[in-house]
Amino acid sequence: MANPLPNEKELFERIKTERITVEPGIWDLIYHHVGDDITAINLLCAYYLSKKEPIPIKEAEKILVYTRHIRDIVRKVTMSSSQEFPFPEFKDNIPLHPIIRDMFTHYIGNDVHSINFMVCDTIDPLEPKPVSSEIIQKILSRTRSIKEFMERLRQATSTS
Amino acid sequence: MEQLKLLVVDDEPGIVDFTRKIYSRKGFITFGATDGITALEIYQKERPQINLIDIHMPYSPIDGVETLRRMKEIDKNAICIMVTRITEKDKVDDCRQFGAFAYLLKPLDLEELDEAINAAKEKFATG
Repeated sequence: MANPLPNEKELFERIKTERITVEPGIWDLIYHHVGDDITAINLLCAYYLSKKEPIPIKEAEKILVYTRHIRDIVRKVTMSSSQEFPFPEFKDNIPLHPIIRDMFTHYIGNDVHSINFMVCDTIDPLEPKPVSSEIIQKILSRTRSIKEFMERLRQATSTS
Repeated sequence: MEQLKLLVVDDEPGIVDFTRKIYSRKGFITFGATDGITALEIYQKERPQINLIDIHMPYSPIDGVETLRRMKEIDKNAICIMVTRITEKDKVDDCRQFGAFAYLLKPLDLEELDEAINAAKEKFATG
């Protein structure tokens, strides 16, 4: 999982004491997009694990499509200005609080970056290889980490 | 032993594709749809015993709740597992009202899916 921020405890404490919230519609947007992408990566990985086969290069490329989409959503919800925010109904809720933006970009950003790195490194055009079961397990550990982080932050921001 | 049929309904084709592949390997006859109307057509023709339905399908003419409602009109014993997001609690209430068998929250992993599918198999076997 992404390394915890050194001041993680303090940040969650500030979310609580300063009553920092995230509009439910924004969570809905995140869960819709990131939820589908993470589910698709999980099922793709689970399928090849169940077959005890590495993920073929062509299939592994699909993981990069999903991670690109996650990165794109994170980039949009962490925009520092609402001017270019592509979901007009939530423009009033952007930008998110800087602490929330930092946490999104750090936790989801790092996990997605790690998945990308592992897949890109394996299917590197110079020496492409299928994705081994060891790497598949590491990818699943990263998707679990994203899921846990989202739920933890959602709970923290909805009760604050 | 009768081979069970599983219908997977989700507007993300990758989810449909890999869920079908996983459960085909587990011995199911699988069908897939990326919208509610196609799902109902398949349901009418094939009568799958277990139906896995995503609630939020913005590109579908009808959402998962309406798909469930119409499926239950065709056969009130249809076993439907609804897939939703934690942010959609009101929709879960609607599904409960229409007789959904279980609910799963996205992001999903295979363990959660297996547990629900096994419970649905058990429900089908015991009536």
